Amino acid sequence: MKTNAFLKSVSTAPISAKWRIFFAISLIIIVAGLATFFIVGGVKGDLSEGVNAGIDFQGGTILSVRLGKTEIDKNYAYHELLIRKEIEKEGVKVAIVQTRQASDEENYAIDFRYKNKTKDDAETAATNDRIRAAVAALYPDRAGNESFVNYESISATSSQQLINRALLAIGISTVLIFIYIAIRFDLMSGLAAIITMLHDALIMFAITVMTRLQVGGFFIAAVFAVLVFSLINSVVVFDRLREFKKPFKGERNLNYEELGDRAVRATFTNSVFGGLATFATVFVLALVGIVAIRDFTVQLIIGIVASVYSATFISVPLWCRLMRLSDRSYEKRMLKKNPAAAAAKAEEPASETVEEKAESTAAKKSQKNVYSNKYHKKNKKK
Amino acid sequence: MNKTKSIVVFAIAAVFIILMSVFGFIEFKSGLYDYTGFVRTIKLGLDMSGGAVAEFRVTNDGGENFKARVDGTIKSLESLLISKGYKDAQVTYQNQKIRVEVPDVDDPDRIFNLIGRPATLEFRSATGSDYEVLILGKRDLETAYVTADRNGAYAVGLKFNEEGTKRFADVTTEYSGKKIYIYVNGENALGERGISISEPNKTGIAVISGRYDYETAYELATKIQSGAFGVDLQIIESRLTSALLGPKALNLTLIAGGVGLFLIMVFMAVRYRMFGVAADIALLIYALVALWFFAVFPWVKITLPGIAGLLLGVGMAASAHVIIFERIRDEFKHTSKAIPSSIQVGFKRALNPIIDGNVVALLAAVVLLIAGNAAIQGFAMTLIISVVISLLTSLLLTRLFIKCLLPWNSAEPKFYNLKKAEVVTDED
Repeated sequence: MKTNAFLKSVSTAPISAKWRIFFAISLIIIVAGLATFFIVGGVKGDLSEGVNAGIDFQGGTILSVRLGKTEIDKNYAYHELLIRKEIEKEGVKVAIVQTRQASDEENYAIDFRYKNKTKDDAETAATNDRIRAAVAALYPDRAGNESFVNYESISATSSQQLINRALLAIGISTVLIFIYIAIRFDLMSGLAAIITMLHDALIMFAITVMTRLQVGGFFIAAVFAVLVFSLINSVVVFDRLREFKKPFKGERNLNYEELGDRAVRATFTNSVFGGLATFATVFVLALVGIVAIRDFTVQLIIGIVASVYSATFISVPLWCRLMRLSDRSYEKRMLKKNPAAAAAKAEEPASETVEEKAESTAAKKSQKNVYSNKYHKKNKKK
Repeated sequence: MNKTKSIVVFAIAAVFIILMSVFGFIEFKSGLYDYTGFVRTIKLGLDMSGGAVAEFRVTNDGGENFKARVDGTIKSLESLLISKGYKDAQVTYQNQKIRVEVPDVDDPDRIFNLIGRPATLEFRSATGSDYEVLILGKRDLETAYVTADRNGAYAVGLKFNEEGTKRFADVTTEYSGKKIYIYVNGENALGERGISISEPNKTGIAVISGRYDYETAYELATKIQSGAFGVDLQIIESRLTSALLGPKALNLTLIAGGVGLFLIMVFMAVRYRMFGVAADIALLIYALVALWFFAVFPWVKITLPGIAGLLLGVGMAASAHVIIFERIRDEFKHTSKAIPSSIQVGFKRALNPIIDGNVVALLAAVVLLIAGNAAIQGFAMTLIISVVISLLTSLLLTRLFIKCLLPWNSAEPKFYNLKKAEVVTDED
C-alpha cells in the first residue's frame, strides 16, 4: 500500500528535539501579551487598565430608560441605537444593553451598562447627570415623568480581593497537584505538568489582553477551567510516558526525546478528541449567549486550544529538557564525590538506542507488555 | 454474559433513561397535585436569573466580638428574608460589606422595605425622657418571630442570646410586677401598655402577647428583628441585575448543553461505532444523573462559572471514553489479541490515566471550594459533581454496556471500527 509521503513525514517528525521552536512560539505570545499589559497599563498610569476590565471589576453605571413593554417590543432597535449614540457622545462606551422586565409593563426598561471614565466620584456623577439630561431630552413627550431615565452606579466588587483569593487558590492547588503527580509519576513530570498548566493560563491571558476581550469575574472561572483541562491532558501524555519509561527504571541518560515523542504520538488522538468534545459544548454556548458570555466562551476556547497544543508540543519537550538538566547535575555531583569512577563511566561505549534497549530489556525480563515493537518485529520476520 | 442478560441490562438502562427524562423535564397536573420536572427546580445564580442586589457598609465600631456580631447579623438577615418567602436569598460578608442577593425579584425597593431600614431595639424602664435602657436589641437579642400565646392568639416571640438571657433574667427579677416598654427606632412600639412582667424569666425566651392579628404580629416581629442586628448597616447601593442569558436562561443553557452532548454522541458513534453507542448510553445517563444532583443538592446554584464547570465535566466524561477506546484500538491494532481480550486490556490500561486525571481535577476543585469566593465555588461544586459521576459512568457503566455487546458480536472488527496494523514491509 502506498503511503502518503507527507503524512508519513509528519507522523514521524521529531517533536521533542525541536523544542526551541515550540518554546519560542509560546514565549513570543506570552511576552507580547505581558508587554501589551504593562505598556498599556503603564501609559494609562494604572496597571488595571492593562486589561479590558469588565464592569464588575471596574465599576460602572447602569442607565435604565423605562420605555414600557409595548414600545420596547415594537421599536427596540431604534431606541437602542438612538440612546446608545447619545450616551457615547460623552466619551463612554456602552458595554452591555439589556431589557429589564418589571412587575408592571409600564416599567419595562432598556438598561445600558457602561464603564465610568474616571475613578473620581464627583466627575462620574456629573457625567452621568449630563447623560441623563441628554437622554431625557430625546423624549420630550415623557418630560413629566421623573423616573423615566434613571442611573445607578455599580461599585467595583472588590476585584483586588477576588484576584488575591483566586491566586491563593491557584497557589495551593498547584502545590498539591505537583505533589500528587510527583508521587504518582516522577518529579520532572510533576514540574513539567505544572509549568505547562501555567503556560496555558498565560497564553490565554496574553491573547485576552491583546485582543482586548473583557476580563471580569468570569475570566477567573475560565482560567480555572483551562487549568484543570490542561492538567488532564498532561496527565494522559505523562501516563503513556510513564509506561514507556518503565523498563528503564532507575537508568539515566536515556534517549528522552524518542521516548517522549512516542508518548506524544500515542496520545495525540486523545488530546485532540478530548479538546474537540469540550470545544463542542463551549461553542454551542457561545452561539446562544450574549456579549458577556461570548467573551467568556472565546476565552475558554483559546484556553482549550492552548492546552491541546501544549500537551503535544510543550509538556513532553519540557520534560526532556528537565530530565537532561537533572542528569547533568547528577553527573556533576558524582564527579565531585568520586572523580575516578565518573571518569571510568565516561569511557563506557555510548548507550544503545531506545528501541534496542527496549528489545533487550523486554527479552531479559520477558515482560509481556513492552508495547508494540515486538509485534512489528514479529511481522517483519514473516 | 449471555444474550438474555444483556437484553435485561439494556432494557433497564432504557427504562432508567426514559423515566429520568420524564421526571426531569415533564410537567403535569393531576388533580390537586402539580408535578414539576426536577430539572426545572435547578436553582440559578443571580447572574443567570437576574434579581436584586444590595450592599451595606458595616461600620466597625471597635466594640468586642465584631466578627461574631457580623455573623449574627448575617444570620438574622437570612432568616428575615427566608421568613418573607425569599428562600433563595443569599447574604455574604466581605471586606466590611454585607451583600444581599435575592434572585427573581424585579423591584429592589421591596427588599429594603422588608429589611426595614435597619432599626434599633431597646427595652426601656419607663416612657418619656427619663428612662434606663434595660435590654439592647443588637446586644442581647438573637431573633424575633411570630408565635402563639397561651390563649392561642398571635404573639411575638423573642429569643435572647447567651448574654441577653442573663440580662433578661436580671431585668425580669428586678421589674417583676412592673412594666417595661419596647422602643423600635426610638418609637414606643406597644404604646403605654408596655409589657407587664409577671414573673422572673430565666429561659431566654419571652413572648409579647397583645391579642394581635397575624399581620401586626408579623410586622412587629420583623421590626424587632431588624433592630436586633448586631452591627450598624448603611446602605451603599441597591440595584437590579438582569439575567446574562435573558429570562430563558435555564432553557438556553439546557439547549446548549443538549446540543453539545448530541454532537459528542454523534462523534462517538461515528468514530467508535458500537463502542460509541455504548458510551452514548452511558453519557446520557451521566447527563441525567448530573442534572438530578444539581436539582437536589441545595448548595448547587447554576452560575456562569458553574456552567464552565459543567462543560468541563462533559468534556472530561467524553475524554475518558476517548482514552478507553483509543487504548482498545491500540491494543487490537498492535497485538494479535482478539476483541474481548483487547477490550479487557484496554480498560485496564486506561484506568491509570483516567483516575489520575480525575484525582487531579478533584484536588483542584476541592481547593477552589475551600479557598474560593462564591463565583469560584460555583465552578468547583459543579466540577466535583461532574467528575465523580463521569468517573463512575465511564469506568463502570460503559464497561458493562460493552460487555453486553459482546454476546451479539465479538469477532467482527468493523462492528467496533477496529483494525489490525498493516504488516510493515521495508521497501528499501
